[in-house]
Amino acid sequence: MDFNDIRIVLYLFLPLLSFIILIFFGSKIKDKSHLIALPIIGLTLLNSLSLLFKSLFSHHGLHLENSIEWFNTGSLVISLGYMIDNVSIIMLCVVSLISFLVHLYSSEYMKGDSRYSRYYAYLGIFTFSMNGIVLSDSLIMMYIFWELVGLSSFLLIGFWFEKPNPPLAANKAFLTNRVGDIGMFIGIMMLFFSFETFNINELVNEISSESIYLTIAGILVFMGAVGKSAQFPLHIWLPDAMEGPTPVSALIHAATMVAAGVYMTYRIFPFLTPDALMVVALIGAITAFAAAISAITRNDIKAVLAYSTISQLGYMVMALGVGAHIYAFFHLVTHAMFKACLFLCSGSVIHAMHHSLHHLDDHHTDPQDMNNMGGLKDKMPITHAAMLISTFAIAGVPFFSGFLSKDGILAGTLSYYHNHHGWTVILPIAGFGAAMITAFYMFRLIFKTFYGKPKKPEIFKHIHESPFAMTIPLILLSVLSLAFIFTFDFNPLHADGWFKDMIGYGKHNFLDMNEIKHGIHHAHDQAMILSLLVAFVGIVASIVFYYLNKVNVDKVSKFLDMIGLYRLSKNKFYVDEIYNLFLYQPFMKFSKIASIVDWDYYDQKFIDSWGWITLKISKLSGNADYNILDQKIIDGTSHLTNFTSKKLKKIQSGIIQNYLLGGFMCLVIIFLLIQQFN
Amino acid sequence: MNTLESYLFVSSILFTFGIFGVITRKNAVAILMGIELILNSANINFIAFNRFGNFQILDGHVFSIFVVVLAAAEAAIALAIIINLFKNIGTVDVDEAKELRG
Repeated sequence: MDFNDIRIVLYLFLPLLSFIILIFFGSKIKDKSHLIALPIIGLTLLNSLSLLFKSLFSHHGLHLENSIEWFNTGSLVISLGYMIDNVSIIMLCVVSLISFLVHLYSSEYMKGDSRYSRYYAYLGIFTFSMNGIVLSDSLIMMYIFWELVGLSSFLLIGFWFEKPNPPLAANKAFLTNRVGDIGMFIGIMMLFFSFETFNINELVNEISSESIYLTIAGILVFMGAVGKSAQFPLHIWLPDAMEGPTPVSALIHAATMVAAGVYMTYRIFPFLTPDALMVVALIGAITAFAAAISAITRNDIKAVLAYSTISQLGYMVMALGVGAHIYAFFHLVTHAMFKACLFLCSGSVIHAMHHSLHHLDDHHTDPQDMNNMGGLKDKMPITHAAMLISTFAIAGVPFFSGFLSKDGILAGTLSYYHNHHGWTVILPIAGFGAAMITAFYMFRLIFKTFYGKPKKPEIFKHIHESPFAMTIPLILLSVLSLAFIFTFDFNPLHADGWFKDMIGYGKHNFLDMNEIKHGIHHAHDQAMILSLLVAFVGIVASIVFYYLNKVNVDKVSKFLDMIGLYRLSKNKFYVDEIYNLFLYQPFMKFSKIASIVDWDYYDQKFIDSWGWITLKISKLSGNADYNILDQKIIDGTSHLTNFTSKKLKKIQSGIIQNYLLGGFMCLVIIFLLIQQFN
Repeated sequence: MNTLESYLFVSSILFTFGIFGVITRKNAVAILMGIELILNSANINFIAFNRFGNFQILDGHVFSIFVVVLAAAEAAIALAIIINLFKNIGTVDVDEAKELRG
């Protein structure tokens, strides 16, 4: 074990240590829990940053690998190990940075919660398992940590389990993820049985020929990402997952865990066949576009952000599908920063709303509903500024990070269309369409929340800016949403920089990455102009609709409703309803039939008839036992004894002379007998 | 008159009377008297067999003396019992003393 090994192990065990301390001694630590968790996560962050700098200043980047045997059943050897390259270093930085900021933020946001220490414990186990995913060198180890993040997500979504909705949302998230994870596991096993290894690098090296088998295996493994990264059709859990505390939404359901699916697909990207990648791209495109449309009509501030997250994850997946995996990872990182910032800002707003409502003793108004907000700009300047910056980033405005990564993805889709033609035109259409809608609904959110007249003046009166522990993460994250951070280049349209150099295009087993690189480069100018245009249109439309109020929104929505669009968005494309109709209802019907067969027929008729027969037999047997054996034979013996002794007791008259007479008579008889037989 | 049979005949009669007395009499004292008769009939037998049995020693006589002594002791005890019986149940009628009836 050298220094690096110890360091890697620390990644895993520092957050685990935090979990162990807080889960076992939490009841004693209580309100001081963050004093334990914060330094531990801070150490993890320092660890990651030092690795990042070490990698930045070394020429070829870091590449560390080590593994130990876990168990061995003859031919099957399963090993646990880590694999560190530039991608995992950046991912580790993202995870530990956002985890640290969320820890800091939560110390204020969750203050006074009755399960404060447990909350930090869950954050600890989440960070532990997320680091595990990033560090894993094999699919099976990744799968283990994959399930662990699922568990911590489940625990944190259902954190306020005394309320009615969170437990349901937690179950929904867990079960929906199950569907994807089963596919992933089957895929991993398919890969294992044909290539006899779980190790990702070995898989990449060994797979050399395309086959339908490999395509299916790849798509199945990708199913895990569909579940975890909330891709269509398994995206339904993510909006519900917003029932968890807002910092948790920022950490798990926006920045890191949902991006784990993208990270995993990034890892297996080199051996995904072109056919599998096409499926990946299509799923990403559908998700990006449909989720963006659903986001327009949300009124809950967190629901808008949830659908926006789904949409952005769709972008990343689509980027992987079209081969622009470098931009997928780039977007993962930039998205982690600005989406975490957006969520924390929304948390700040909700926190303020909640306090104001608490002050008014109002427990019915929804603190997350944007219809109750408005005009918060002056009351919460820091939150407003941070949210505005990250909105610029997500909308794809130059000078902000989202522009660079989204631009690359859009160039990737355009290049893909140029190479394939035909139906693939829907990929750039979905990409640009979603970009426009994103700009539109994000500014709708900003305008409805921070601008205009306050919709509820009495609530507005008591709104205050959040304390420093909450605003510091906002400031830091909004700074990290600037394009400059990722390029160190003052040209806002230029995406090349340290970040891209660190990742590189790499190689693909079946695709020519150079060709893709040139294709993207070629489509880049076209994509940039188009993306600037759509972002501009989206923002202007939003300004017209929600800031200047020039157009009556109700009229427009009524008009759109005539062609069914509004309703489609409002009802989130009826995905939940479709599941309800085609999965839930038939399942319930089937269960009902099964229950009738089981209860009414099997139980009531069959099982109970056995009971009836047994009852009859035991009645008969009881009868035989009591009336015949007991009454006749057993009691008969005693009756006989009784009768005999009643008769015999008359002999015992107590008159001594009778006895004597009897004795004498006997004697006489004996003498007579002796005489007879002599 | 000098034969064994005549002695045995007398003792048999005595024994029969004794038994008859013991069995039929209700008075405890009369029963005691019957017992004495039986004992004495046995004594007659002892002596008669000794006399006609060509015995060199006087075993029969010795036994009859034992029986007489025994009878005296027995009479004393029996009378004591009778007195106690009378004290307890106020009569010497043996039919009244049937505490042992089953």
